[in-house]
Amino acid sequence: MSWTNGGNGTQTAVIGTEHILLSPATNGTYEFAVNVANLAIMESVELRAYRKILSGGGYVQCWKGTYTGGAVISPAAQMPPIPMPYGGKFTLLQLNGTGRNFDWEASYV
Amino acid sequence: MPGGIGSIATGQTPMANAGAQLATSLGTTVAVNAAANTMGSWVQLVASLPNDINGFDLMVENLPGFHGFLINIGIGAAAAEVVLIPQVSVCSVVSGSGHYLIHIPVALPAGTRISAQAQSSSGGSDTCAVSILYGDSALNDLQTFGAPINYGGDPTNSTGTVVDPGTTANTKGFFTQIAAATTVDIAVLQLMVDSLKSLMAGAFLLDIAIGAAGSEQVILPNIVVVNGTGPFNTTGGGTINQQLPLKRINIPAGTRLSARVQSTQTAAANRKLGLSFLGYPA
Repeated sequence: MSWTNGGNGTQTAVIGTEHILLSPATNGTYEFAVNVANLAIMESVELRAYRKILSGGGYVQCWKGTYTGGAVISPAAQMPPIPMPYGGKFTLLQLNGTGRNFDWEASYV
Repeated sequence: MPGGIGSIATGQTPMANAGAQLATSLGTTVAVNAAANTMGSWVQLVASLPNDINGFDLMVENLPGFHGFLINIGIGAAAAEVVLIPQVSVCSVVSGSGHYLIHIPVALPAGTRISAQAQSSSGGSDTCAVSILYGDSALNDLQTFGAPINYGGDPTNSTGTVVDPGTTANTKGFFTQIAAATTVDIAVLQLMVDSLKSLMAGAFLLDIAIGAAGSEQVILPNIVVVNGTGPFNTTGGGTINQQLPLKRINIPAGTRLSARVQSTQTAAANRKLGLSFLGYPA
């Protein structure tokens, strides 16, 4: 069993904007990771994952992590694997400071 | 931890202290601004962390009597410090007292410089003593969170927000708003109680609530708060510096936080509490 990359890239954050990085429709168990190393001290970024509970339903938040520059010892911010039988959505929102570049990827099995 | 704490076998020190002064048996002296209720200069505690840490214990002591203090812990280079832990409230009623220990569950990478600054309700030549205790993140799996936001700290008084039980003993007073709307989703709440620079007597029970004014819902009921001379001392003489163990409780952004208290005491001078929170983001 190996992971299939669902998407990746580099997002330049706009402060206060929740950027949708990927919204795959493929059934799978997804992991999602973002490199937060570029955050300056006390700049914070929120990462979110959403899934659908019903095939025709809307997105519901299922995971969130907040990371603050200067207070991170593992910059590869990692969402644990979450089943998303009807696909999902992964977002990034930088709260403050100067908009930074964030490398990201989301893979599934 | 699987395999045991093998790092000790390689010679790593389990814990380390930054700030303790062996010559005085106290922490590092941190002077406040000469102006009351104004933060003073930063004082370095750690020039550079030798390893990653999964949080640290903050210890504050040796305050002048009847003065409230707010302590900031900062990170960053000299002259470029940024507040990491805002407005930890500590007070004393007897000169040299006011011991306070609070665990801060924030991870910091190796190389981080840590410093402290303080303000007091009196300013002048006030000082406090500050030190921290920390351990190598490789030796524990303590959960950590993002940098906290302070709700309720009153920088105009160098205490927490005043919560008053009113004049009827052993009866909950009105709810006092601590935060109109939390600014982030909170995963962990850390409660700090102080005695508002006053001699305290008797016993207290504290409720923490969420919800709109008039529709408060208690989420943390009847927290025991005890003054420094015990609950049955009714004549006063104790200091309260109490922090509740970290509460793993999810509170969405936009939530109104409030509190109410009851006490055995009815005199205005020693029935009120100062209250503030550190909210760690989800």
